[in-house]
Amino acid sequence: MTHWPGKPGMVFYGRHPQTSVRGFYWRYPDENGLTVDSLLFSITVGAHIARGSSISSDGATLFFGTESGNPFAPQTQFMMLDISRPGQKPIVLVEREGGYRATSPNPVDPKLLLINYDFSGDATEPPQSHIELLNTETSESVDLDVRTHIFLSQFTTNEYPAWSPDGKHFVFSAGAFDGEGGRYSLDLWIYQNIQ
Amino acid sequence: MLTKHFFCIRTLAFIALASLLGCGIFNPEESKKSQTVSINPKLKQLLYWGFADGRNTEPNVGLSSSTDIRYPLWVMESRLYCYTVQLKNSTPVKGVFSVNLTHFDFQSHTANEFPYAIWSLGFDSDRKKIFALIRPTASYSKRHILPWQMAKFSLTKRLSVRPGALPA
Repeated sequence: MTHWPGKPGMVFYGRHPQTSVRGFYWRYPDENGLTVDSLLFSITVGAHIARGSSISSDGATLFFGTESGNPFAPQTQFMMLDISRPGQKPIVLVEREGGYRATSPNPVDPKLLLINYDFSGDATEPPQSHIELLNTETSESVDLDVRTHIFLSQFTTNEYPAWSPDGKHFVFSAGAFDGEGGRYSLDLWIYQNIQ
Repeated sequence: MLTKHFFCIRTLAFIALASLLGCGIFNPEESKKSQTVSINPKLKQLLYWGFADGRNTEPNVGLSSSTDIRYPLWVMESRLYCYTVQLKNSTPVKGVFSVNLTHFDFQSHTANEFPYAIWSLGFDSDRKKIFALIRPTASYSKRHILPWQMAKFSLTKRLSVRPGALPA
């Protein structure tokens, strides 16, 4: 669920109770104050994947993800959909090994946070998260090398990395696994001075 | 004489070594710090729930209480919102909290009873309303789990807590 810059209401993923159509919907109040659910694009993705979708600050692009392949060794497609015009089809922005967590566009610059995770070794190991910064104009990306606990092996993030309004910092929720079955709580972390 | 000096030096060295070890093992702040040092200098821990005593948790005080803080929303330069649980007098206070980053404080925006699970948080275009997808936690114990519903949060109810310390 995310707000649509420049438009009233919210954009969310769900299944319409009357039509059973799954996809991204725009919920807004009409001129009479009644709630309208307008289908932006019909697609079926997992609810946990749809949770990490976002819209660019100019309101023109919806970012989301899809997964394919083995559930224990998935392939992630980071997708973008032009929502400034009706009838557009989503295109693949980049592909990465592992599962999808979230996207978060910078409110000032054409930069996009990509968060995914993979499993080291066999699937019995806890997932290892990665935070990457993609320039959507040049398609250049850099791994931000985010690890929250230096002595712990596995870094995990919750969804929703959130940019500061000036686009210089972002905050996210993250914990870690100790490699022996123990888990450290999800605390709030801040990444300073993205430039 | 030499034996006596050697004994003194050995005793002092032992005490110094024990003190050094003790700092790491018994000082909770040092112990906590050693687990949370990031390898990236741009990364700082902003908030965790620590045990203030057996019945309460406070932001950034003492050892971690292992309570999750989720779904941060950075709404204004100096304010963000998140979903978490605080222990007050052994009672969990669950819901949406605001964090003021300039004069650091932490406030709950929900009453003590918050019988909902939150799937996601969002804010609208004017950044004045917080929305959430929620469903009653009681439905988990029933045969049919209720669907997620969209809710709007009142940001008028505030529960003050003692300010914590913003990490350097």
